[in-house]
Amino acid sequence: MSDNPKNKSTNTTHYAVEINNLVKTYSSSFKRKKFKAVDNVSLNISPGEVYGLIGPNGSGKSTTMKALLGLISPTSGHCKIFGCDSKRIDARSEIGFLPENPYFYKHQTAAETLKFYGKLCGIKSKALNERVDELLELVSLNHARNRRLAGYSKGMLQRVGLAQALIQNPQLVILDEPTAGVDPIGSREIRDLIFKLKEDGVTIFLCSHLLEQVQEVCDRVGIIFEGTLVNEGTLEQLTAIQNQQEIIIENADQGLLESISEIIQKHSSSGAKLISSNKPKSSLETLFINTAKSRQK
Amino acid sequence: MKTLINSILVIATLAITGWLKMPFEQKLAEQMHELKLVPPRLTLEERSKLKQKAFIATYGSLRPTIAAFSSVQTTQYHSKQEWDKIENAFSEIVLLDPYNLYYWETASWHMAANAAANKKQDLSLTEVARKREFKKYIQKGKDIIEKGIKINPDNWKLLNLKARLLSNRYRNPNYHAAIKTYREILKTPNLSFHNTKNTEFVIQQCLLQIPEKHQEAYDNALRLFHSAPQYRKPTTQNAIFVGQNHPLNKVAKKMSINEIYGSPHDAYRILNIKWQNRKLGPPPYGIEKTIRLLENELKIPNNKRVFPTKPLSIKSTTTHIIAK
Amino acid sequence: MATHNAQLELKKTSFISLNRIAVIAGHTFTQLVRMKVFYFLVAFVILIWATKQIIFPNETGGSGSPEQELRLLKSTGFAAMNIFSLLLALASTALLIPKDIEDRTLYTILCKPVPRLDYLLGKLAGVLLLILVSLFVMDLILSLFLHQKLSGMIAIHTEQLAARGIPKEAIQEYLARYEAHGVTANIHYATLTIFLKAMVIASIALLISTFSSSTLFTIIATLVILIIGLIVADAREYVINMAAIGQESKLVSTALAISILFPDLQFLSIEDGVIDGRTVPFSIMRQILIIALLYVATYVVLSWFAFRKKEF
Repeated sequence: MSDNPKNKSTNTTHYAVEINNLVKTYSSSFKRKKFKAVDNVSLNISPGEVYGLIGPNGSGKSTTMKALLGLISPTSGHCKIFGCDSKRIDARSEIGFLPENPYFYKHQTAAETLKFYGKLCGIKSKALNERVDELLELVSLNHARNRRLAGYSKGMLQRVGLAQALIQNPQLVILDEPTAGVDPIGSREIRDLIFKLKEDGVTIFLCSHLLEQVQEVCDRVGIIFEGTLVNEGTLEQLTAIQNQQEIIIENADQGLLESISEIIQKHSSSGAKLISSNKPKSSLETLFINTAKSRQK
Repeated sequence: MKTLINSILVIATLAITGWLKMPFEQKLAEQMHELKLVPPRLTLEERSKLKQKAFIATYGSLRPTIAAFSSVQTTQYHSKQEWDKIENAFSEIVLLDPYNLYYWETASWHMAANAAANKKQDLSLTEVARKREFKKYIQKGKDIIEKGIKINPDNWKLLNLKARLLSNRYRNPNYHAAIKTYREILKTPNLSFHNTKNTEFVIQQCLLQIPEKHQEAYDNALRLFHSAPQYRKPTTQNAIFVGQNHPLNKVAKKMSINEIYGSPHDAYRILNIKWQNRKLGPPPYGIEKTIRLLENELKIPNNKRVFPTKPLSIKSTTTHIIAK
Repeated sequence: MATHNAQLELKKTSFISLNRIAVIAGHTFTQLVRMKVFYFLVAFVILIWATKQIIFPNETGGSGSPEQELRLLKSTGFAAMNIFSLLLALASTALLIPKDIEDRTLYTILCKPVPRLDYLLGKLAGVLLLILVSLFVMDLILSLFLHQKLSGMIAIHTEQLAARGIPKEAIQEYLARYEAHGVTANIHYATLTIFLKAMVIASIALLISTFSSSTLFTIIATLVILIIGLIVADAREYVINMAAIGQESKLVSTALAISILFPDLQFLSIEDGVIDGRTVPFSIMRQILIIALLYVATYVVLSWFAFRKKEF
């Protein structure tokens, strides 16, 4: 049973992110028609949770994120970050944000970019230098740290974006399409990084179109459609086909398979039936990565 | 609605701050105009005359720059004797940089000296037309200076320019007006002794050019002579000498050659030069007689004399003896 | 999943921080420097050197031409400084915020604990720092060439005047006239007012860019305000004079009332007086500084007002 979006916890003080009845309406200056980008969205993210917000283009994902980041003001409703109103600047001391298709100042190198953002967060020079070294190592950009961003590929820019989002060790990381345009190896690395952050207790709020990846990393998922949160819950709750069971057996011979089939037939009176029996598939992504790794060796 | 309210607030803030600072700004503007730190404001007519230059020139330091480069361009017009273009160019230049004496000087010089002289020699014109054009351009030169004086009333050099033009013997001189203008220069506060002296000398020279002012010329020369040693120059010395020999001058006490010139040698030298230039000034009363006396006294060789003596002839002596 | 106490003590962010402003200013300065704007200084040196070579012929027999050469040198120098600082103030400021919005680099900055006022002040300070450094160097170059020209002139003319028998006091008077055009505090005051002018223009451009999403519109609007600011004093005087002779026009008077919305930039142009060799009293400089700072403060506050709730 999926969580009804309306069955939210009333204990608001324990959430990393609280979005309550968020409405955002835009007026079109020419036609004077009002457009509701977000319509009464409510969601809460617990600390240390990885929450994915998915939906088609124009569904209100970015608008919801921007309201949380204080880049836009809600028409009604409110957003809180660790109990602090998101419109307040204090709330941003614990946020790291990676926008979609991040674009940084071309004239700077990766190291300079990270130092710039670090200084904005008030990190002092020695600690900052160490942090920059650490992050560049983490996102595998040490080899290009002194190259200007104008010469960076999209994937490299994405990694710089991730690094700047983590510069001040935030407790909440907001990622908008973190793997958009990134190759499978890069995507895998970002996914692993998300896992690592999760282990460190960092709350992650991400938007993505790549449903497989959302499925891999998220604890809970919200589905937004035309500005409304239409479904929300854990992945198991949302994706499990309740009346089906999947059993994977290794090294089963034909005889065993036939025995299982017979057992199922015997219980056919209860409505059980065998839907399919075939070999599970690896993903194209796994194949790609394994091929790349073997080539590197 | 919010945008409208915000816009109103912004405009209201600008209006209130604008209104509050106006008296302060007006006072500062007056001070700056008084000190001539900013050029005079352009009227609408002047702006329309300058056209785009007026807009460009309104930005600080561009006015003098445009004026300077425009003035360099006028040398081309000068070489082609395009006097109307020079006149138009300078009428804009002095609008752009009105406190710069150089432009008033150059503009009036082009009109009163160059253009006037050119027209005077223009054989394509009739005699009458030549005289008319000559007069016209001299007047243009004077008008330019007058305009400059109006904008720069405390600049004595413009008055000097005017007086020089008025006293220029080749430019329809008006010595009365020149003297009046020079005397205005003398009223300039903190005028240096050097400039005062030069102005006094020029006044003296102008007085000498006016026949009916012979007494005033003599009295003025005496005053200067006795006021400071720096005034004991040929201008005043000769004026005293000629003045005290003028048949119509009232002379309280005649001064000797030595008192005027310091020594017979100096007297001879200075009077000699005066005699050479006798046509440029008033009648040289007493100069010929004095030169002759000095030549005898100083035993100047006959071949070097201004007035060499003729050798005595026998015929003339015989005639004298028979008569007796 | 590791649990975490949601009741985090969020770090307090001050309303304004000089450190943050300095970081953004330094960053903006570097950004503009790496656009190679300093190459203009090479052109400036060449221009001043070429102007120094110009000799005005002493045609009229007056003594004005050496002074005219010094004037030309100063006016060319100041004109170049004005044009450069105007272009930089206008283009840089008009470009900065719209570019940040378009590239979404603004999001990454505002998502850090950076108040919008700090962002605006940092951007403006970065542009002004660049203009200040440039003008400082140009002032040095102009002063050097002016000093060279003047020294040469004084040496030549002292000799010439002495040879003509002009007395010492008169020679001193001539030289004093030339020295009035030399490297005095007035040159630096003029450079300072050029900087103040650029500062006001940059703050106007900043204000417009906070509500305009188009760089082109920002540049054009700022230019229009600049032109109005330069002629508003003349226009006011014209209307007052017309009113004095009974020739008023309601339309013109209304336009004049609206003119108080615009800055009056005539105060920020003392270069003409300095080119003429006039002395700028310190009291005047102080008043000019106060007015300029008031303008900038007003425009910055209004920029913040327009920007604080701007949505991206």
